[in-house]
Amino acid sequence: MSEGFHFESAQWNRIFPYFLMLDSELRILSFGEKMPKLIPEISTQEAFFERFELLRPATNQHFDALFELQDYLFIFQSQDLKFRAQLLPLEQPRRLLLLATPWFIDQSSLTQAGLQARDFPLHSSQFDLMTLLALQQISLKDSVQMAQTLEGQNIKLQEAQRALQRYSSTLSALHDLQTDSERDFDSKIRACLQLGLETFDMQVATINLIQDEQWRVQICESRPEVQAISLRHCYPLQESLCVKTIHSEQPQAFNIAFPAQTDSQRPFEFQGDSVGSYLGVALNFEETQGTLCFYSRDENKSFDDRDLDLLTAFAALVRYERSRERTQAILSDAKEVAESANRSKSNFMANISHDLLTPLNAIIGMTELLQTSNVTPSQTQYLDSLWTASQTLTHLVKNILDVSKLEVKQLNLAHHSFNPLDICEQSLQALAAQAQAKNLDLYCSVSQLKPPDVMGDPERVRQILHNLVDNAIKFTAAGRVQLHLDWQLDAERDNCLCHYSVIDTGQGMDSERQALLHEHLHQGTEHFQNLGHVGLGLNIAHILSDYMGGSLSFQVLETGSRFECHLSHDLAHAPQKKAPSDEGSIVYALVSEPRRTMLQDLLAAHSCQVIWNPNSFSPNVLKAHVIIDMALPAALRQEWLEKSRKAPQIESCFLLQEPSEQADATAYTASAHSLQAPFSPRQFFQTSLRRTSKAPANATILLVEDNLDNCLITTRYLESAGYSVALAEDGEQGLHMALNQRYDLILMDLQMPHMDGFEVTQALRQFEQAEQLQPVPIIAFTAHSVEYYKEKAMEAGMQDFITKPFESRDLRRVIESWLSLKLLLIEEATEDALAPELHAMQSLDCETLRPDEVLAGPLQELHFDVALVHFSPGLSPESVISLADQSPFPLLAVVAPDTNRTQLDDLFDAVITKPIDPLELQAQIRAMVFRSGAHAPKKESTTQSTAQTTEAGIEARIDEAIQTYQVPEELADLVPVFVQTMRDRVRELEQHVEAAEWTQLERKAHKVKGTGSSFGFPLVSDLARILENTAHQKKSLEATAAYQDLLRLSERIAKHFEEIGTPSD
Amino acid sequence: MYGIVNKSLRNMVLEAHGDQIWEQIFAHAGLSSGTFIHLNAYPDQITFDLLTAASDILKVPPQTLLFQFGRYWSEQTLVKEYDSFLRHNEMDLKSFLLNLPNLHARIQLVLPALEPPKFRCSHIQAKCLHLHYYSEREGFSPFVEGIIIGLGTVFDCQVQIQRIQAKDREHDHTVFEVNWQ
Repeated sequence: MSEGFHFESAQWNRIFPYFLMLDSELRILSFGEKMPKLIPEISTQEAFFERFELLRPATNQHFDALFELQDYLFIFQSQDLKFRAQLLPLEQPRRLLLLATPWFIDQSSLTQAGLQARDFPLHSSQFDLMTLLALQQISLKDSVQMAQTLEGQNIKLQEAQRALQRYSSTLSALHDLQTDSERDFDSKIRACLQLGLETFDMQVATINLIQDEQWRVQICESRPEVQAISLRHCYPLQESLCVKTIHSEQPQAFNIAFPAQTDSQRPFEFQGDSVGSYLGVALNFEETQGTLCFYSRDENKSFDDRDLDLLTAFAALVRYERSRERTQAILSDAKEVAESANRSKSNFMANISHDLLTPLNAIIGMTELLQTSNVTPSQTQYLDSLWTASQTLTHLVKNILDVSKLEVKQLNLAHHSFNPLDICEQSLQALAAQAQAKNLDLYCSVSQLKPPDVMGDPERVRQILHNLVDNAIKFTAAGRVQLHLDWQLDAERDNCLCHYSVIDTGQGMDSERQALLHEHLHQGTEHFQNLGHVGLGLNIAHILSDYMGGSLSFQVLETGSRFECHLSHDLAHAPQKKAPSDEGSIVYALVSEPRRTMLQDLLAAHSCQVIWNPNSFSPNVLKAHVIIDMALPAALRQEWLEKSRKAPQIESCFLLQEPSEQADATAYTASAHSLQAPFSPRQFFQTSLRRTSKAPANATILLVEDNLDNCLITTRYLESAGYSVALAEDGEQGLHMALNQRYDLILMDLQMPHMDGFEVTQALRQFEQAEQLQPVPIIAFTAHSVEYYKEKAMEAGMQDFITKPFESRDLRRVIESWLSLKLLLIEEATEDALAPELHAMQSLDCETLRPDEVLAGPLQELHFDVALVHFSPGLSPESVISLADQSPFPLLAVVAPDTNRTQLDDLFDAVITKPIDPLELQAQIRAMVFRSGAHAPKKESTTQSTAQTTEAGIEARIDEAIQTYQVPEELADLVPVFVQTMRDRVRELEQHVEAAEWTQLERKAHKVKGTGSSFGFPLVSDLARILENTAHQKKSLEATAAYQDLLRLSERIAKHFEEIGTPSD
Repeated sequence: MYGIVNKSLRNMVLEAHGDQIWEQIFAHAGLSSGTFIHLNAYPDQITFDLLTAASDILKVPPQTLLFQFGRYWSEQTLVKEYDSFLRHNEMDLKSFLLNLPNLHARIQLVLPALEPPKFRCSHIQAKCLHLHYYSEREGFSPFVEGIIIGLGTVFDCQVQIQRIQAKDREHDHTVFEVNWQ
């Protein structure tokens, strides 16, 4: 015991109930009072090492050795009971005190050793440690439980996910199957059964029919291991496995335990085994009952609710497909019946319509003839009504014919070049009489003055516009009907989107009609027959615009309505340079208030400055135009007419006639331009460039027509227009007459007995070729408006086409276009000008312009048959080259007799010398017009054989060309320009060759071709021609070779002139 | 409180009333997680909310519910979860009660986040003693009474308990007189 402390034995034992005191012999001198509870046989004087085994520290079992180990933790054990102890070495007497305590790491060992909490001193943490360990065990147990719970939940979750995935993928597969439009009914059902086999892991799937209490397999799918399947064998329902299924709304699933099954319960053999598991659901078709079943020989298969749900989905698919198949069959039958009836109807309508047109033509013709005879005023009124009704009927019949064609898909679209504004004007022209009858202002307007030429079917566009305008006139009681043209160019795609708007000031539409129309315009055009009540014309416009890939829309305005047709066209050629603007022009407009809007629309594209209803002309304005509305009071307009005539600054005066007015403005003043409806922006300011038809020449026309009524009418029309008419009653007679006499023009019916119009034309063309005669223009003349006939007529050698029935003005227009030749005379105003001479020729409709006037605007805007260039001293060579480059129509040169013509042959289509023989000129022009037709061969000055020229040959020819070159005297000053221009143009071609841009290459090569010979280099023209041809044929290799030849030549020429200096130097 | 308390309450409800009722109680208490970790300390409020919700849903007065929970704690939780404590401690009620102050002292040592109640024994006789109960938590006396009654079941004896002093302004603790046969 340490000094200062003294413990009674009881106290000592309470503090250290498991101490051991050892003497120097290592014998046990004393021990704690609780020690016997653990080691009952322990006694004093016994050797420590006989009772205990020292586990730690490692030492000799000698007192001295142990005596030194007071800093070591001692662990010793007796049997399995461990003690931990601290050694206290004691002096005098030398002893060892081991402050020991039994060591337990779990409470069960403690309990096993028979110890309780009170067996430990309160200061010992042994029990607390065990409490902590016990709590940790509890915590560990808790964690293990939780982990097991989580694991269990995870397994369940995975199972649920797998089930859900199976469920989901099966439903997805069923959905795919249902929406698979490629499969037929049988294929779908079999795929459905196979899917079920896979989904439910079964071996046989059947669809069974139940009839008359008999069960029969209708469709069966199985796994390969199923050897025999009894198909279509009947078994009594009561004995089948489906007996419960068929009477239940719920799917049935069960295992079949009994081994010996009846045949009816074992329709399949699983290698000798019976059916072990069954999964089935009733299929309730309308008239029959059936089941969908899956079987397996595994009699231990289990099915859950999800399987039953899926089986219900399978059954739903089978029912749906069955129902759809039946519905489709019914619909298909009904569709076939309806289409057959519709085809019959369409064919009938087409035939009837066609048959109606011929007598209609007679009615209209006779009516028009009667109108020109001596009739009483009341008869005139009757005839007017008759004429109007006939026109309406013709229009309706044509529409019905079109509808019939559309329904049987016989409407072919043409692909021609046309100008949208031309079509707008023509559409309005045809309806001018109707608008006039209702005293409506009819006009067209544009967003810009020069719409580009586009490709498409002009007749069908015209038909759309005709129907829309006709409709607008019909529903407009007063005011105006406007056809507005707007467009957007997409130059990159060579495309032009045209917007044609028909705006009226009519009654508009009530909401019911609007809704009806809106619905019809937004549904397909196949159900045409349902659209009758919104107007046949509008329906046709809708269908045609749809047919051409466009659209039709409408808008109700505050006053009236607006219909818009949007059509996309390819550009006929590259966008032209901007037309000369009349911007800044001053226009005095004297208009009545109701017509002011119209005039604003008409002038909108002109960019001119309009002074509305002035009091007087401003003396500060040096040049102006005047527009006078003839609807103004007579005294007022007469006053302004006088003022206009006397005012020197007034360049032109335009009289805006009233809708109902027919009088010619010349009645007021010879200097005024009378503008009659339908008005167009092009009527203003540029009338001098617009060709107008003159009275036809006194030509002789051969009419080949077997219908006597049509003969009579057409003859009267022609004679009243001043033509002489020769009549052939059939094709054979027509050919005979044409071979024996030259006519100015032939009108040829296509369908005639014995020899039709095509055969006559072909025979006549062969004759003309053999006899080297100028071809006579032949105009086809038929009630067939189908594009096919037009093409066939052109192939046969005809030049134009008129569809019966026609109005007299249509006939005149077409004939005049061939007989009254439109000539543009380009010359400087010199003393020897040809203008007076040519204007005097009755057969020519001649306009004269100076070269600079012509070149100021796009030549494509001018419409002439031929341009005649008068070579006079004042004509600049640059103008000649520009004209030759740009002219869209044939060019005829008139030169002095001593002119060297060889240089002009490549620039001009023909060259004649002065003085002009009117007959020679007329023949030449007609020949040129004829040649410029689509089927006429182009004039070529050299043969194609140069295309095969070898490279060495080319080099030799280039050398020869340069060495033998002689500068044309009259063009000497232009040679430098030519050389530079030629080289630039040839270099430009490279990009088109590389990009295979055939159209541009062909066009530009053509330009190069046109100038080469003129300057004494026919080889340039030859090589350019080869390039043009290869571009036309889109032959890449040949085009590249031709371009290289041409480039080599142009570079050599340029280099040559650089070396020697230009001729003009 | 440690998760064992909440777990024990849940087990009591589950055993007596099933999953759905427990779900209702749980939802009524506005709790987001129904999992309690045995030796994880949870806010006392959770236990209070659960007890209040259980009282509402089961339509049992809170005092009664606490008493039932005390009995369940002794008869089920103590036996199942702390069986070793019972077995190596004195195997009679008196020894257990006498050891109760030390037991809670040891619990305080090994579970520092827990604030276990304090106990003291006085008037110790052969079949009777006074148990002094000190706690910061208000209203848990019925729980203690339930525990003592439940210990009678554990140690197979008839126990009577009477609150002879309530915690109030003058007394800082509750005193029970416990008699057993």
